[in-house]
Amino acid sequence: MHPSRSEIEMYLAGRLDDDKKGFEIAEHLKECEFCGEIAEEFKQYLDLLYEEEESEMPLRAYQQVRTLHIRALERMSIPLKLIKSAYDEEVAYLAADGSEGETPEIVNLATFFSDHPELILKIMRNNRENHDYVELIGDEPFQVANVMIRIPEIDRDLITDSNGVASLTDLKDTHYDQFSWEIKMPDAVFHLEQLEYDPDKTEYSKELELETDHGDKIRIRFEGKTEGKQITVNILQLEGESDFGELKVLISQADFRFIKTISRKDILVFNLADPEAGIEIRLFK
Amino acid sequence: MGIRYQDRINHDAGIIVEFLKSPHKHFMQFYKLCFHYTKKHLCSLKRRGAVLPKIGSNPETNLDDITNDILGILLSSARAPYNIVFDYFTKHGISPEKNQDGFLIYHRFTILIRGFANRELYKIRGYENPQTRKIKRRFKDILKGPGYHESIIGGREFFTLEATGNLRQDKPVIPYEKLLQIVENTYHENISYVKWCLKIFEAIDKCGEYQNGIFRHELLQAAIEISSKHMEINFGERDNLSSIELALIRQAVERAIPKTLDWVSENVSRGFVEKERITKEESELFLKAIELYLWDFGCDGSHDKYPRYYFVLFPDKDQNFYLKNHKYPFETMINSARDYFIDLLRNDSTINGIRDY
Repeated sequence: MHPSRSEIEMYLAGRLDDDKKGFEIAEHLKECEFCGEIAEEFKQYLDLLYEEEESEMPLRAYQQVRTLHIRALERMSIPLKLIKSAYDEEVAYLAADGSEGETPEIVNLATFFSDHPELILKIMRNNRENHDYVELIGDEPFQVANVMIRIPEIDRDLITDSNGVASLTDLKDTHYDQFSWEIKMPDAVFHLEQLEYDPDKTEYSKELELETDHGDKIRIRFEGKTEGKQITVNILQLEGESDFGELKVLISQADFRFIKTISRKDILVFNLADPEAGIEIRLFK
Repeated sequence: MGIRYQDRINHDAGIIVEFLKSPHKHFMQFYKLCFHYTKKHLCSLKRRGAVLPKIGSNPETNLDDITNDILGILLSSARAPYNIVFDYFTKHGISPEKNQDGFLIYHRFTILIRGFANRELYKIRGYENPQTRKIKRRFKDILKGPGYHESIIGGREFFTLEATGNLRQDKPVIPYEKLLQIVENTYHENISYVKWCLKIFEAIDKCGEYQNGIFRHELLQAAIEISSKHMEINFGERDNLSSIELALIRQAVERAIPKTLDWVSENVSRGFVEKERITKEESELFLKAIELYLWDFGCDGSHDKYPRYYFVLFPDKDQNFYLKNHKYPFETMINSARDYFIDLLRNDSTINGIRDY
């Protein structure tokens, strides 16, 4: 009877606790052609791992990291907890708030956080412009840009911009710290690379369907008109269901954004701002 | 060896544990680790003679491209964030909350990386792993050597032991499942390919109700299946095809071979005969050689070089004769047969999703 591959590898790594077994494997390896091959293969792998230079990851791999990370976050609802400190009853001033006695321009009203992923949500007041806003802070831009922030108690949601900021104008003077804030990552994300079109033709149209691994499906129609180019987006399915109720859709291209709440049969029209830039479509259930 | 690389192993084990504790925060580091380990595994396979599939148009970045494709699946989040990795570690009792031996976590990780890469490579058409290649080469060499006798039965290569007196030709050939059992038992009892092969034939000889020989392709297939089971890296999910799936493939191949041969005879070889490039008799021998090729290609997805099949049926011809007279018609016929055969298998609903032809 041959030892298992795992036993052979553990023996070679000096991690087999049972000495008798180790001796048996050593003796067996001297004679057995099959197990000798396993041992040789493992030794070669370890040598390759540690004796050769670690090569740089290609650019494509970094792009894949981002895509996989976004996919891992998709559909996630992340509850936030209020940070309570000794200064709870006071106004927390920021470093750039100016000297004591003056009304600071920017004031931090409340701060919430989550551990996994590590995110911080700051509720801020801009006294000069007289409006409140939220700022989401995280390790990676894609964790904070174009994500939904929900306040279930009042059935409100906001979508952050590319800097992780969203306005709270119509909620001004609310007791923000009494809400149970949560972050809702998109249910589906579609990317369209830089559009290819013939600049000599002002009139053209092209239609395509995009589908995710989870059965989310959209139809996109590109249209070029004399006055400009646009896409129409038709949401066909969400997680395999064509009857998905209401959805919030965010279409963004460079710094241009378009947000709309739609139901099943609605068609969205987005005027392309920059034919050189890619388009991202995010769906929030 | 493990001690030699202890610092690196501890460092890498730390990255794995950090990822398991806080995957979103440590994903980049973990991805880099997976990338390094997967790429080195592919390098190791290549050094051992694996012919890796070609992805994209730039051969210089091929290893990076395959690595990327494999990790795109391994680190996907179909059911939950990075569910393949988390399910795997959970299944093996590894949890970041427990204080576990770093080497055990590290070793489990290397099994996951190597096993998963192997599984994904199996799915890619045109990939033959070095272990499969080695077994086939070793068994073919052994069967060619002294002690074995080759004959052709129904167009297929059939082997018996030379020393066997009574050949029991009136009995049926041993069923594949029974053969598989014998191949597995004899694998455990032997320590070399030569002895393993001999003991398989001796065990078959003891089964009086069957013929005491085996078709070559069945012997190779069974040996590959058993060695995969015991020698390949098993990361917990199925790496290779099950016996039922292999049986379905065999049945589909059995159905497709006569159809392919009829088609080649009618559409390709007839033309060569009419133009007098080959005789009718030569055409029939070509078809028998093609049948041998289709058995190899259909059952385990790989095959020998074309001339080997030719010389089985034309043992008295030499290389010069082949190149000058038969290479073109034979290889045209075998290429056409292959395309038609693949088409039949791809459209056979009984093996959909089992093997990518």
